[in-house]
Amino acid sequence: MSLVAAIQNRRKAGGAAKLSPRSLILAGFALFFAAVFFAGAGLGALSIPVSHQLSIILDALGLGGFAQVSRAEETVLLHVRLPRVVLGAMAGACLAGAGAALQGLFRNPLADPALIGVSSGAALAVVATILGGSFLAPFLDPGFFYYLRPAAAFIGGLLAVGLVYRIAARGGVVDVATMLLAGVAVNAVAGAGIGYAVFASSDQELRDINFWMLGSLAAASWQQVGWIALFALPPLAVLLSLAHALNAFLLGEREADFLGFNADHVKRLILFTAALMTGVIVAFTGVIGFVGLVVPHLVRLAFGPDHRLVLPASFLLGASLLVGADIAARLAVLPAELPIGVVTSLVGGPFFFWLLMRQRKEAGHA
Amino acid sequence: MLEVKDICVSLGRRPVLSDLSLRLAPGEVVAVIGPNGAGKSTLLSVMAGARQADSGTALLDGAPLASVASGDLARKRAVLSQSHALSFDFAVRDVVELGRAPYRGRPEARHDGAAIDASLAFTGAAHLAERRYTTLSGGEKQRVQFARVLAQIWRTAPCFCDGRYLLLDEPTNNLDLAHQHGTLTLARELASQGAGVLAVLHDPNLASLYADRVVLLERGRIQADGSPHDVFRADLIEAVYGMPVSVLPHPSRGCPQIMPA
Repeated sequence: MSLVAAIQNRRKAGGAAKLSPRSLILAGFALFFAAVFFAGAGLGALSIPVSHQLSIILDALGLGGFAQVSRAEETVLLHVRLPRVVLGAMAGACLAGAGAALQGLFRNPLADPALIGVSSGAALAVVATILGGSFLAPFLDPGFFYYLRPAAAFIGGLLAVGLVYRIAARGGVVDVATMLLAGVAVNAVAGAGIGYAVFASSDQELRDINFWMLGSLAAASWQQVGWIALFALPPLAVLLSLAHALNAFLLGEREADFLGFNADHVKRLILFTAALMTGVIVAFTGVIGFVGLVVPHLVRLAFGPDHRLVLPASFLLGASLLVGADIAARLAVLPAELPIGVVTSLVGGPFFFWLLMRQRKEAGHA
Repeated sequence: MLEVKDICVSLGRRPVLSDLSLRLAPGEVVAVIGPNGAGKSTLLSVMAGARQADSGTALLDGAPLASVASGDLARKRAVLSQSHALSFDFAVRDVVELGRAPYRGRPEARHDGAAIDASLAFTGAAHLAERRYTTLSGGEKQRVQFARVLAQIWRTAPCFCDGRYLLLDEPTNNLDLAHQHGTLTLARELASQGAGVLAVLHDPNLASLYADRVVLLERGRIQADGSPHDVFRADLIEAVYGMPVSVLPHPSRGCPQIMPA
């Protein structure tokens, strides 16, 4: 894989910063994403070759197909695979983007939406709406819950990340141990809340809740895709516009201020966008951990910490990895399906260990 | 001119700075010294525009600091802080490039490359340009950060005399002897090219060697403000620091140096 080669190159070169122009690197990430995208749309019980996929998509767009495709292929691709792959891609891009932004804000590569409690804060809020929803269902339009869940998830995520930042950042200096511990505390509280919800819920509610705790793309629909495109994609553009500010932030909050960035404004914007993206994604896919941790880190390892590259590359690699993880989740235990959160945690957990060891080692040398 | 007039700052109910006035003119090095807790860093924060005084005014070339747009301010004054907790793996040149952030999208941005090269050369860090920041020694990191703040106020004209200010917050902390003197020699050179330099220093002897003016701060008030010869009088230093001292002239440079009596 090109990424591994790049990492090795960087190691050998003693880490000279710029391997090649940004656009070239990003083109590579885009190509990789395209490959994973078509693999995700093609693989499964019914495999659909790329030429058939393209033909079906063109046909659906009213541009006319060019290949002979079966009715089954068309239905499976348009109504099952594509919404799922697109949902996975957007979820991956948003989680990785939120992770990259939070890591820049906390000035530490261990910040991750799931680890520091943003995801579980959002999940708790969603679970609360599931339970509360049963009480209120007779009185309210079912469509209302569709609006309620993302909104609740956003607020839950924002509260969690705001709390963690408040506790961990004193006078503009982030204490990493406190950040992680605050995340543990938020996760514990959210876990207790969700545990109570499990205890108090009916069978149907329990199935819903279980889904949020493990994460899944199985319920993907074009409607969800539309929602996420509306609320979770604009923040990606906001993040890109903050790339310079995030670079300055790595020097410290005061230094960013001295360089003419309004540090408070940037900070609020990042907390807000990260919570919005994570919240909306959690509302539709549940808690998918470690994407926000692993992806930006890989990008930095290979190409350095400049956010002008780290952010867009994280979007692309996050999308690729989550679609890839979903392929694994679908195919690993056929005919059943693993929750995708299980797959990402399986990969991400050991990676987190490795990161911690590395940080310890570096701290020991300093 | 960067100046504060009659400023008062309190932390909670404790007054940190009381009715303090200070001017920093282009071309001079002013050292602020004083015992721990005298308010040195707070004074620097106010002059940098990072903190508002409770009362009194802070002015940059006659305009209230609070009213100067953050970008304009960033192009006129740079601040070198005490600690540089940059744990991400930037190349040195990229760190210095961060100093050019205030020029993004402006015509001056075409001088970015020249400013970065010149700053690296000026601080003697040119040979580090391709190194990774996290692999540098403490002294090297300090030099790179110095280059970064220099790039921030670097100008293409031959001097800094149109009002560029550099504020150094204990720039010699954690540096060995040679690096301490190296850093202040750089500050001295910048002033000779027209920049106004304010340095908060712990070591009065360094202040005496490199500053045009020394400001002696005690509990938020200026006890003395003048040339090293005026300020470093045994009675004054003993009163402020609370320990007996002898003041001797430097063997070759003649400026006063302080030893425990």
